[in-house]
Amino acid sequence: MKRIAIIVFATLLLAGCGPRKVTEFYARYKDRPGVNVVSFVGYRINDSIRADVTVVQAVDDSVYAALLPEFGLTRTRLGFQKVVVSGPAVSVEGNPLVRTIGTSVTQRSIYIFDCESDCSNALIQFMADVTLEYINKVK
Amino acid sequence: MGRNHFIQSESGDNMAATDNRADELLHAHLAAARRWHQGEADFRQAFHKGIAKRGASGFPVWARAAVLALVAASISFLYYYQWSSRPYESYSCNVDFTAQEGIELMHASIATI
Repeated sequence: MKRIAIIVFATLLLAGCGPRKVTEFYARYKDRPGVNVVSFVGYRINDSIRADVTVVQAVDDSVYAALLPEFGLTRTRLGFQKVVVSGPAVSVEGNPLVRTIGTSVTQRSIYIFDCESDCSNALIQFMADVTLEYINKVK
Repeated sequence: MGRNHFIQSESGDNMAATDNRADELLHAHLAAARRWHQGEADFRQAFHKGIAKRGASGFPVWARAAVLALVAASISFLYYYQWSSRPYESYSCNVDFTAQEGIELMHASIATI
């Protein structure tokens, strides 16, 4: 009994202390000075779709300007229009991903959504809901 | 003790009687020892049988299995409850943002130009 209890607790401890899953962009930018990175693995977009989300935020304009080209974004392309780029990508494990990249000049941030299947409709709905909620909150 | 008695005896009858008594005692001791060994063997057998049947703690195996199943079910339920109550599987941040602050940053990034 005691042995089984020790095995159960050791397994739980190992599971709890095991390496935390992070997104590809989190691993890339977490040590970059002047950059805040937030990573959600398996973020719930709706009841059935989850995505890996990374938000990269620059602490000042110069860092932000330097970050944009790394995601294929430029200030001229940005203008005052929000840029959202979607396209295929491959995960670290080699699985095909649908990647959506967007940016916010106001927040000096770039956000990346990686889905394992075509989640564009769900993502559009999610973004619309978030925007509405944000607008209502700011009001 | 019997042998001491034998040495101190002077008559042959006494010697024979003492000798018989000593043999009886010896046999009695041997029989007791055999019984003790048999008893020990029986006890060992019963003990191991008991452990196999009821476990070292004295709990029946089915009760132990039930307790383990209950504990496993509770852990699974708590883990699932914790997992399902939050909108993500894993959160990481290189600065001291809480998960809620991280979500707010994401929402603000999506909602603003």
